[in-house]
Amino acid sequence: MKFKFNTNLIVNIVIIGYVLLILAMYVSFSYPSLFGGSQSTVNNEPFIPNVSNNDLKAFDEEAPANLTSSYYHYKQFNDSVKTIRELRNGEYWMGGGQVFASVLATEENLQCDTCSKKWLYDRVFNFKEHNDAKKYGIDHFRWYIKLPGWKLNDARWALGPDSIQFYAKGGQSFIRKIIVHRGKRKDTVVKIWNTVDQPVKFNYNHRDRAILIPCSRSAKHAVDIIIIIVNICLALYFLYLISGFLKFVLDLSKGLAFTGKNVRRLRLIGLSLLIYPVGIFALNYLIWLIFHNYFTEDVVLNGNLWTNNWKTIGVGIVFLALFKAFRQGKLLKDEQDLTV
Amino acid sequence: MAIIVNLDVMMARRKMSLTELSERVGITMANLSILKTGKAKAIRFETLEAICLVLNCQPGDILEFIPD
Repeated sequence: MKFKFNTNLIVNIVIIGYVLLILAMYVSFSYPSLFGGSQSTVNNEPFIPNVSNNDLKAFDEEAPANLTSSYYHYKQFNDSVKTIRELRNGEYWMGGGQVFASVLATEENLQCDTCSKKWLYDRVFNFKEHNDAKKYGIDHFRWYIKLPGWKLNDARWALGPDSIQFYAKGGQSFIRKIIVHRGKRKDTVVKIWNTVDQPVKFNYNHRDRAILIPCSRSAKHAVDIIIIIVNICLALYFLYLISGFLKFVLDLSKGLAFTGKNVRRLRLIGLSLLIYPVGIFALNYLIWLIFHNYFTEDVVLNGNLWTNNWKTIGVGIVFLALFKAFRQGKLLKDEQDLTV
Repeated sequence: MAIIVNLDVMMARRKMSLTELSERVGITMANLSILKTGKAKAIRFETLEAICLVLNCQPGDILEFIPD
């Protein structure tokens, strides 16, 4: 098969860059020592055993010895542990929040350190009271500003060195993380894995993997109103874009393809679709600037931002390419119209 | 534009109206008007040939180059 380079410089650069990236990834995975990886044998360093210092108390209830009686009991226990953990962490969702893209949201949760699953289910199923504040006790309500764009840098596989877990105890939030350092045990150099608890100012939503900033009820309501207004404006703008696209399609069906209006519509749609994801990233960095006092070095930008937005960028690029093509078409048409 | 169209001058010399010229050349009044007012971006050889034939003149009598 004959490989033929495209004459376009940009296309060539992209192809070469892609090939180089694949090569670099292959080399870095196959020979990590070249990049200072963990399998380095350059210094003839002897094998260093790992020693774990996990002497911190588990933050979930230990499984009872007779749990193996049935799968039903196992599921019940698991459910109970999960519910109690959510209550203790202040992430038991009560609803009533607004969401603005992957930037800002609000949440109203229950937080209770000593409540059991029975306490919760009694209130859900046996109480006649319809007022939630009276049913659950207003003291148990917590209001949060949720930041879907920011999450803990937690490894989701087992307990790797990067794994970070959030938990709360007595209303105080902690992150539990593993710190690896070298030490000596019985005259042998070992890698010691220490699990440490670090107090933090934020809470965490494990379901959505989002940072929660505690706030007052009135602050939550103020943010709700701002989000509703912004969402309405955004929805109206998107309706305007959709109507522009429909008018463009109608014009095409009437044979009026290369008109100034169509060119402007395509440019507006393309630019809007490209600016939207960029705006989402920019707003998330603005959020970081506003709340950086709450963040630690373990809070990172959520990777979902990219996976949610790359399609929008792709469609935006397609619309901009269409805009360029239609602008050229309009130029040719104008010239043709003025040729006698 | 540096190219000046002197169609109106030639039409006046030949005492020919725009309607008559358009009928004899076979192009629309709108297109002829575009040419006469200098808005045209291009002219086809066949149009030029037809105009020259009807007005009995050379292309140079209709088109003139004056540097900007």
